[in-house]
Amino acid sequence: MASDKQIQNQKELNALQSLTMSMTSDMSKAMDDIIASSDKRNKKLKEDATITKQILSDLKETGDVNKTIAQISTQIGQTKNKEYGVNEKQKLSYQAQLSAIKGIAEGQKQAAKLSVAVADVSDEVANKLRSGLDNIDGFINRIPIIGPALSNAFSPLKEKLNKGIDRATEGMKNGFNRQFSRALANGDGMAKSFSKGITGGIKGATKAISGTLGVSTALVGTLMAVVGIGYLIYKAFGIGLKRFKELDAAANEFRNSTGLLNSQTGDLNKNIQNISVAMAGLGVSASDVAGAAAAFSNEMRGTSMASKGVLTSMVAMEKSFGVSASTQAKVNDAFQLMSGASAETAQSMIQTTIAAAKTAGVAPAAVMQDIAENAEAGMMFFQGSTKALAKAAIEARKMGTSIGETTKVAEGLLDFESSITKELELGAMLGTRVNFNKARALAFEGDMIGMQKAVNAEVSKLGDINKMNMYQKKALTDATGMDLKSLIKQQQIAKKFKGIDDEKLAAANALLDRGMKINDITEEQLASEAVRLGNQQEMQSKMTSLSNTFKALGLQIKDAFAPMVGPIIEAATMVGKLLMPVFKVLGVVIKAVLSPLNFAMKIIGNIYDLVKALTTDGFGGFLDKVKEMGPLMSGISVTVGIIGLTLVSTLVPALIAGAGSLITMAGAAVGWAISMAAGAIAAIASASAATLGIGALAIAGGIAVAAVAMNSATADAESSIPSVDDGVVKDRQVVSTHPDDFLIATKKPESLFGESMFGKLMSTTPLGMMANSVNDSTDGGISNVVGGISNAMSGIGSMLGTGQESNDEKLISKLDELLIVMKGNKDVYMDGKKVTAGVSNTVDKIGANSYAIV
Amino acid sequence: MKITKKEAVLFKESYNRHLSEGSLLAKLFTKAVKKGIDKDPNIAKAIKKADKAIDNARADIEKKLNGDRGAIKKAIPLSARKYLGFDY
Repeated sequence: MASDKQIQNQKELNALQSLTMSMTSDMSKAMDDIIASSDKRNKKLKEDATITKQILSDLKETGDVNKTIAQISTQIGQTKNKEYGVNEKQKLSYQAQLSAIKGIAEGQKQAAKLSVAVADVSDEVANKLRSGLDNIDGFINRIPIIGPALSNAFSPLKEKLNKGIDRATEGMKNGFNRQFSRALANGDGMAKSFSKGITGGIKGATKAISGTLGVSTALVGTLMAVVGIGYLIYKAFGIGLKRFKELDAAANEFRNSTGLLNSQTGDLNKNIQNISVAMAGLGVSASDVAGAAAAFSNEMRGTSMASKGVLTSMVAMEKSFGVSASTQAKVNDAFQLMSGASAETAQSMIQTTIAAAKTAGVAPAAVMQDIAENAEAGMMFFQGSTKALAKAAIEARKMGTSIGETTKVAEGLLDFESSITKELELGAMLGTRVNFNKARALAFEGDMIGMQKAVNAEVSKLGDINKMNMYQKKALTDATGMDLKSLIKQQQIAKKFKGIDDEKLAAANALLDRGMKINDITEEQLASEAVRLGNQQEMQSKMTSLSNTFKALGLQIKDAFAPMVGPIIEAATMVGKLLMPVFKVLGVVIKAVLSPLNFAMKIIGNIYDLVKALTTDGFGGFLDKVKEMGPLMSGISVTVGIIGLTLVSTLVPALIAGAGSLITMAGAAVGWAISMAAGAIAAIASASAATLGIGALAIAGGIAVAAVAMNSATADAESSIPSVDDGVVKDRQVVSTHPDDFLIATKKPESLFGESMFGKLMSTTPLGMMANSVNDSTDGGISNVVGGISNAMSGIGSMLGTGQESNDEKLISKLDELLIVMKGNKDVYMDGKKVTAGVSNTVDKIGANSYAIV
Repeated sequence: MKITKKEAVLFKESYNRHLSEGSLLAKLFTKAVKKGIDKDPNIAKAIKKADKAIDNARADIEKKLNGDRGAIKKAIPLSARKYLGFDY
């Protein structure tokens, strides 16, 4: 029986077969023609042609090309030497026909092979595509939690795509065979026909898919699936990251609280994760677990860490019964010390005490708090019995007191001399006999509750406490060692609830008797009991319980995704570490690249400050700002500022008019500064110009430096008391003169004296003194030069402001004149003091001063 | 019903759009098929063999009938002649 594959292949060959059949029919007709035209005298040709016709008929029926080729080949061989007599002429035609049949059969045999090969390849590709879709579906399905749902959503698309693949395969095969056969029938040859067949197959596949599967649908579906998967992975990472951060923060909290290191915390991280998940239903967070672990570790002074069982119990008791982790840690420590038990056993005792307190109808948290706060007294009075301590704490709470109070009473009673004295005093005051001997004896035995009951019984005999006077009350509190409030409260409780809760108390005691017998408990047992007790959720409201339940569900999901975050963070950290050196280098490069910009910004900032100071505080403010900036920065800033101003003024004449007044003022100020700093400027100007190499404008920039230097020089001059001839002058005040001197005071001295005399009088000012010293030293030429510079510089503002007399050359030539004079003279002396040295020093601060005057 | 030129263009565009919808999957499929065919050595062999058989048959017929087109036309039907690569 033919296989499915064979049947399929046969179907695909139909198109080819129809071609073969068509040609076979034609050749069969040709055989008929041969038979009809053959001479009857020789029947050989007719016989052979009839056989050929039968072969063709068989081919039509069976499609067995191989058989046909074999039979025709035999016939061709036989006709070679066969004599057809009168039909010999037709022999050649017959032989040609046989060759044609053989050629066609062999061609069609290979064509069929090609058709099958194309079908096989198409099927293989289709299978691969289907398998790819299955793999995608499998991948989607494996996504935790949402996978199956997503897979279901993907199913229709998958089905559609599979159908599309089926149709494409079918279209490919049919299209190929159709075009291939057509081309062969047209005599295109096998290679060309095959090529045309492939083209037909492609068209067939495309046509088959179209209409059945919209690519837009497929594309959107695929994109949606991809985006959906990506989004879910992103969300999963986010959820995992949140949980990871929560756990990390909790572990960090523990380390900060205990001072322990990562390497010293052992399985803590794991315990935090596991316990927080296991106890999430109680509202336990990772932070709660870390807090409990820290409380325990700190209570044990870092000598031991809470095991998983102890931690589980601590958080369960805290959340379910409201007993804080720190209280439990203290009690655990106390129980361990009293009984020598392990931390797990001590924690089990805590659980039992809590359960007993609940049974007895008292607040477990209050009982545990009492034990924790009075652990020392407990150890003192209970002879190492944790059970007795627990019982006493519960019963004391039922009586309205505490271990703290009862042990205080016991301490008082056991101070025999004092206690008995107070007892007698109380008796005397109340006019009755008071006897605490029974209580004293019980206290001595360590039966705190019995003692308290005996005290209460004795007090109850004394009647209503509230009715006692102040002295009697005082005596009562002294004798019992209890405060008045507690005495009254216990008296009321004894009256009101006498015998009511005895059964509960008995049950609690029985529980303690059983629970405290356990000497050794495993971590698992402890955790299991903790979960059982914790699930009672005694502290939670129904809504809180519901909320915690859903939080626990969420936490399960979060926890499932948390592990995917760790490796990613580790990888990112590693990449970060690897990139660190690169970024360090990059940082240096960026800094280096930006440093000129930063410097430029600083200069611009300085210029702004200088302009602001000049406009708001005048020249004084300007000088202060210059001093504040220092010679270098102020020099550069002013220089750049002036360059900028010049450029702006040159390029934008329209601005000049608007800013004219300001610039004129600035120019005048600069000129004034130069006039004042006449001596200093000479040195600075030459030094600045030469050193910085920025020409005349740089000299102007140096004015600021000069101003600083000048200011300094002025201060120096003012601090000394200069003399004019034999007169001593300070701040324009004549301090002293020679007895032989004659003084004249006038507002217009020039009207009274000649120029030289006026010059001498002006020399009493610091400015004048410097100018004069220069004047003296240069044999009179310098004062004119300085005056010229002063005028020239005063005009700078006008020149820049108006743009009509951009006369830098004039300024430079004047300065050059000054420099020549200065260089020729070298040192400048003022009243015997060398002042150019100070200026030179200032210049030295700017930079290498190879031109300093010496 | 007579279709206007405008309507014909519209139909053609619509048909082309209809075809192009499946082009992505079809391209994916046909590209893979073409790649598979290129890799298959038997295909080339089959083509070669077929062309050789057809060429041999044509040559043999021409030899037998001395290249006489009339005789060939008479002996070999048109469909067979076309298949065997005769251009007449």
